[in-house]
Amino acid sequence: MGEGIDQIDDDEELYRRILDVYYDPPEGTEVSPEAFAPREHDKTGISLFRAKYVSPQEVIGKKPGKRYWVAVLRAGDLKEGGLRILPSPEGQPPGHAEIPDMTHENRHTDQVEEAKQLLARKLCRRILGPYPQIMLRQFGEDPGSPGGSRPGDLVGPLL
Amino acid sequence: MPTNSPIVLSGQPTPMVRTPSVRDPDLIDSGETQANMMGWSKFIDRTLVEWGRNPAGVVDDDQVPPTHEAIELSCQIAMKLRDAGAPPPTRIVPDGDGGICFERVEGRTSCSLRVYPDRTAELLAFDDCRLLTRVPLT
Repeated sequence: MGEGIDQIDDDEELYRRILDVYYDPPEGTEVSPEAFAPREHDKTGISLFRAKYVSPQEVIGKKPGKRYWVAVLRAGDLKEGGLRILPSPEGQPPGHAEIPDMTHENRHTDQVEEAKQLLARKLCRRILGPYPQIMLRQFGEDPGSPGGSRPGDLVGPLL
Repeated sequence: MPTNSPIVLSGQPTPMVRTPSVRDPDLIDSGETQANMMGWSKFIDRTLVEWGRNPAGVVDDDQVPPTHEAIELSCQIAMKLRDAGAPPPTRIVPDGDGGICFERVEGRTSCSLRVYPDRTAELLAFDDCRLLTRVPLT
C-alpha cells in the first residue's frame, strides 16, 4: 500500500492526467469528456491523484513524445455532483484515488456518460500545463512541489 | 415595353434543371454554409487522415488507438455531414477504446456522435450535462 490511505477531505484538490488531444486551447476551451472515459485497466474506477501527495509532474511521469495537461478538481465538488471518490493507494505515484462508479465495465451507461460531461464541463477548476513544461519559470521554485498552480505554470483556459 | 414583346418573361415557368455537379448547399448563398464545410474539411484532412497514418500517436499508452474501420466510417460520416452543410464539430477525439467521438458544444448543450470499432454509431445529446437523447445511427 502506498501513501494516501486517509479519507479524502472536501477541500482536497485532485489531479487527472489529460492527453493533449483532449484539451487543445485555444480551439477547445474545455476539456473533452472523453478525457474522463474509463479505460481498459479501470476495473475499479477511473484514476485521480491527490494533490497533497503528488505533483502534476509526477502524475504525468516520463512519457517521451507525448504532451499532457493536468486537470484540477475539488473533492467536495465531485461529492456534490453525486460522484464518490475513494483513496486507492497503489504505490507510485503516491496519492492514487478512484471514482468507483465509473469503470470500464459500465463505461457505456447513461450514468457514466453524464458523469463524464459533469467532470469535463463543470468540475474542472483549472488546467495546468502543458507538460513537459515549455515555459521558463520566473521565480526559481521547485517544479516538483505538490499543490495547485505555481509561477511559471501555464493555466488554461487563459492560453 | 409592349407586353407582346418576345423578351418579356411570360408563359408557364419551367423547372430549373438539376445536374449531378450542383449540390443543394452550393445553391445557398451562405457564408455560414461555406464556413461549416471548411470546418469539416479541416477535421477530415488534418485529423482523420493523420490518424489513419499513425493511429497509435493520438492515444495514451493504456488506450486502444482508433481502428482503421472506425477511421474509415468517421471519414464517410464527416464527408456526408460536410456536404449537407451541417455545423462542424468543436473537436474530434479518440474514445480510447478503438472508436472516435465527434463533439459539438454550444453553450450548455452538447452533442456527441460516436463511431465504434464495430462500425456502429450513435448520437448522444446533453443539456447542462444531463443526457437528453441517445439514438443509434444506421
